Amino acid sequence: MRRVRFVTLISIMALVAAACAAPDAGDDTTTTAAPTPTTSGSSDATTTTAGGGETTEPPAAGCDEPIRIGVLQPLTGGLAASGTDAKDGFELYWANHSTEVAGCTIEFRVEDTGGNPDTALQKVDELVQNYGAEIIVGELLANVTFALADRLKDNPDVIFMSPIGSADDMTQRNPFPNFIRAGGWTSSQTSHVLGQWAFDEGYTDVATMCTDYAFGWEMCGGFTQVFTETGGTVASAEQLWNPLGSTDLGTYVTQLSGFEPDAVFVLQVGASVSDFFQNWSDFGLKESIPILAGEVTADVSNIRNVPVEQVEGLISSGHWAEGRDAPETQEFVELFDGATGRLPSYYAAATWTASQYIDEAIKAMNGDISDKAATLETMKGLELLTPFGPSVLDEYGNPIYDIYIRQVVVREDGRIWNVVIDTYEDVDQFWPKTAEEYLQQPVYSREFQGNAGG
Amino acid sequence: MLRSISLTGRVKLGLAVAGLAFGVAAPYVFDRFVIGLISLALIAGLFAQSIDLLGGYAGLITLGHAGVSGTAAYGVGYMAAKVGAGFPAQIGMGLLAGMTASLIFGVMAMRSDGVYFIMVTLAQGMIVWGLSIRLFRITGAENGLTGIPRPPSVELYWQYYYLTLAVVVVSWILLGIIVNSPFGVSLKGLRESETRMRMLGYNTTGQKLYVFLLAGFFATLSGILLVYLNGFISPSTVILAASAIGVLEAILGGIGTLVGPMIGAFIIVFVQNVVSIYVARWPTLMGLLFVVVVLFARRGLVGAISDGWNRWLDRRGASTPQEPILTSSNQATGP
Amino acid sequence: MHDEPTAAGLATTPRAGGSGGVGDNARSWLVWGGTAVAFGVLIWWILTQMSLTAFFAQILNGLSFGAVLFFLASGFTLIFGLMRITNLAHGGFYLVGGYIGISVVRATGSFFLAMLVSALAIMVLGLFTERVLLRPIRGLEKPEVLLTIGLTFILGDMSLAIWGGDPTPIPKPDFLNGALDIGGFVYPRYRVFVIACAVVVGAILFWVEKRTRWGAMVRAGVDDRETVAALGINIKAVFTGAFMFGAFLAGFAGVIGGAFLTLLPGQDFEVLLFALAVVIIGGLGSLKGAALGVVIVGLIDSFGKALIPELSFFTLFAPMAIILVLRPRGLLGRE
Repeated sequence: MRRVRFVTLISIMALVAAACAAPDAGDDTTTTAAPTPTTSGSSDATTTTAGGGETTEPPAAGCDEPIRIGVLQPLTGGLAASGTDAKDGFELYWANHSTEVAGCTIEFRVEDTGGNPDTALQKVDELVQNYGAEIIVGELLANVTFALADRLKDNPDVIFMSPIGSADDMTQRNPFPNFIRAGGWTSSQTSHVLGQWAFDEGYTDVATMCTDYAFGWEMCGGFTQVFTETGGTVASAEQLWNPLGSTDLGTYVTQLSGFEPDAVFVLQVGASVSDFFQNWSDFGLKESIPILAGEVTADVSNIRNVPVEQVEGLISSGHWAEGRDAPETQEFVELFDGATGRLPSYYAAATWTASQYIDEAIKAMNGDISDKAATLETMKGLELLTPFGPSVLDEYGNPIYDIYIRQVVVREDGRIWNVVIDTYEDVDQFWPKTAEEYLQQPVYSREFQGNAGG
Repeated sequence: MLRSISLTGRVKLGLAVAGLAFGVAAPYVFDRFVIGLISLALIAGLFAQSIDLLGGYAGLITLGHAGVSGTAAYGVGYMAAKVGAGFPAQIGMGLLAGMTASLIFGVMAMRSDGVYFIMVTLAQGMIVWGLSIRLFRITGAENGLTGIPRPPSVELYWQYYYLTLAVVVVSWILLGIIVNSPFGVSLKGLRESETRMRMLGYNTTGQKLYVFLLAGFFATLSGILLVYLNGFISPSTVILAASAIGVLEAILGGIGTLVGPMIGAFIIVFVQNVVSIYVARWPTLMGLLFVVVVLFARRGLVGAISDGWNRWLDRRGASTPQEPILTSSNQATGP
Repeated sequence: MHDEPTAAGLATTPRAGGSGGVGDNARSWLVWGGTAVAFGVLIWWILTQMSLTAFFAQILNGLSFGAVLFFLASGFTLIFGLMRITNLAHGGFYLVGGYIGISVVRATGSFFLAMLVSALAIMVLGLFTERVLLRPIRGLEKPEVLLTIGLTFILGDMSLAIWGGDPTPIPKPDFLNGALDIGGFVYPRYRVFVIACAVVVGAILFWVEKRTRWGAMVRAGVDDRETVAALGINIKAVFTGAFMFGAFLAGFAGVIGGAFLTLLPGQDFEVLLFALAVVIIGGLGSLKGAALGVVIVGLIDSFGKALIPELSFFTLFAPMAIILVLRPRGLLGRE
């Protein structure tokens, strides 16, 4: 018994050593990375300074203090894969660009929220108060993003950027003052487009299956509204909502096949993505009923490990397409692949782009970002060429992008990715309506799906 | 007068005074982040203490207590964010919601015991979670409710900290009174053997309901404190893990004591929020902490400290009357 | 022959107790008759809501989901029934078993080899857990809770570190992919396979329980531990063996389940909840109960989500709560 206890103690000590030796969750990056000249495409920015009558400033004397950025992502728990992608994308940018910008040194720290709003709130306090972060980049989940935005809204010395958290309303009816979605999106922005495309393709009767929470409501709502207002039909009895978390999707797939729709719009997240495609394929439906997927459902982070035959040819819409044949996209993809061994998801592209915006904004402000309001205005005025493609921000702080209709294909090396088969240019968060029209309707919910058929 | 209190008693009193002094002095020494963390730990400690009242003293482990504190928090949040009511209404609703939930859950659970009690409470907690996601208009669903300002005069972080400290200290005293009252002593009998208590003529079902309500009250307080601390409430606060962490904090620190859960809460809050900054594999460390404590300090940290203290006292000599810190065995009764 | 008086008794007589008598018989007929009628009405109503093919498909959906849960629940209930250990690390066993299965499939391409290897590996983990971690705290409920949850944290986080956090389904062998077509009725092969596996494994477990010496010892130990020990049977070895067997089943469940429900960090607690719900509904310690429980849970899940989507968050826990309130020991439970 003694020996057993001793062995246990040794194993425990070994595990502790392993745990502590693991790379830090909170990497303090103070060293300037070996500055490679900015790779063309990623930083080929035509920068317009905000506001009209700005006199040319003398070159910045440099900062007294480094500019610190705090990044909050879930690095443990069910979202760890996405959060890690986001972290990698952010760090990759600064590994490939100089952290000496306009005479200022850039430092950043990445913190783990565990997907928990309480932890996120504590960590953001630590980052802002102790670490001195002036820019916070995060998070992934809508509820954590809301919590952070609420905490930071009264702080005039911090800019909160959300390149991933896509809750519609944050840049619509309930905007937060120092909040900007550079590198981000709204949930319904990409599904609006798919609604249009689906109708143009000749689908008239579509069923939907989305996860039963705000992100699912907004994605489904965006699709349903545009599709039905263009002339298609989505029967409300054919809108299925499955609960978050691990659950057997067979019962939903059976229902969907009973509806016999022209196509099915699907938004699932996490493990349910793979569950869905397995079931869809196993029930023999892959050949008979086409799937139109919401962006996240076809994102490589969710379908990397799915058997190829289950997702090959999958149609989706998105602001990100890692298979997009353009230099600004492919250079980023190659860098990411080289550094991590996997193809980048939109989480990685998003934080890279956010870093790009930070980089260019600081340059445009000549290193002085003490006036956060002015910095935000400057950021809004930037027109950048990002891995997503061209990016311009609207007056609410949300990007206007080209949205792509994507298809999953297999590369020569056997891995799958999304290539572009059609492009809708200059799509903002309200497309195809104007801001005034759009803001008169409530935010998408389970009750309000914008269904023109009622 | 002090002479009449045993050495152990004097040490405990000294520690309590020192702890209180530390608590009062903290904002002068530490920065906002640390004070915020201490506030969070105090609230978590109160929550764990309320769980301990049920689990350690009455022997009824609950895995759904976050459902109670969360309901109270949502009550406040709803009045603040959706209705725009004043602070008395918010707090009133919080108390009402929390106590109503306690009553309903208590009535549902009072006929169960042991593992079945755990399961019923677990189911209750999960139902609250499901409701928090489904009742979009009341709870804001998955996104939660933001825009919950603090009451006037406790808006600043250190002011709110003092409020939290005050509430926790008063609650601690109240809890102490409860567990040392005749009712509290009868709870221990309940923990040892419900059948025996029934044979002795106690209305054990009523006892269980009553202690559930008491525990629910303190959980309600912790929920209200939490929602004002964060200014935010979402379903994440009522997930199973939140209830489970409360139980873990109580067991880690020492179930069956009042100081144990508070210690456990401080440790776990520290690991989750501070250790996680420096160590990527912090969940592993937390798991290891639990395993090590169980293997080497079976009755929790307070138990280990108490044993060590008693051993030292024994070595000192048998002339002074001894009074162990833990007067009764805190080991769970067998199967 | 060793009868199962308690389980059988509970299953056929109304709980109100009493023994025999004409009144009781009539009462029992009434209860069963009433249940049958209610059931018939329910089926009739369901058939008005969906087509016949959909009806059969949903039955199979529920049974296949239940089948996956059966492997988890049977191991869990065995461990609890015999040793009164609530092995909260069972979910961790499942997850690690699944991930090991992934590695085996990636290395060898054989799904069935993965099932075997995972089951054996988790069995060894179970041996370590029982002998080293759980033995010192036998009978102490709260330390067991803390330890098994701590173990789950470690297993979960280490899995994240080793296999990463991407959602990872276990690739099925070709002949188990796709659909069976029986005269127009199309249904996934894998789900049929899982049901078949559960029936086979269930039959083996029942046979072991009823017909083998070891099974008799287990049953005797569940009913009366002290007597068994007094009879000189090496009860410790029986316990360890039972725990290992339960772990074996959990590892096996990880592979079967991982091809059904994609593996993801955090799933350890999610499947643990399923297992708990099942054994509670069916009754802790009863293999029959586990079987009944998985059927009920599976069917409620698939039909509930199809017919009353508003309650889809509650299909698991509402029945559990209701059953526990009405029958605090579960449907077929014993104490």
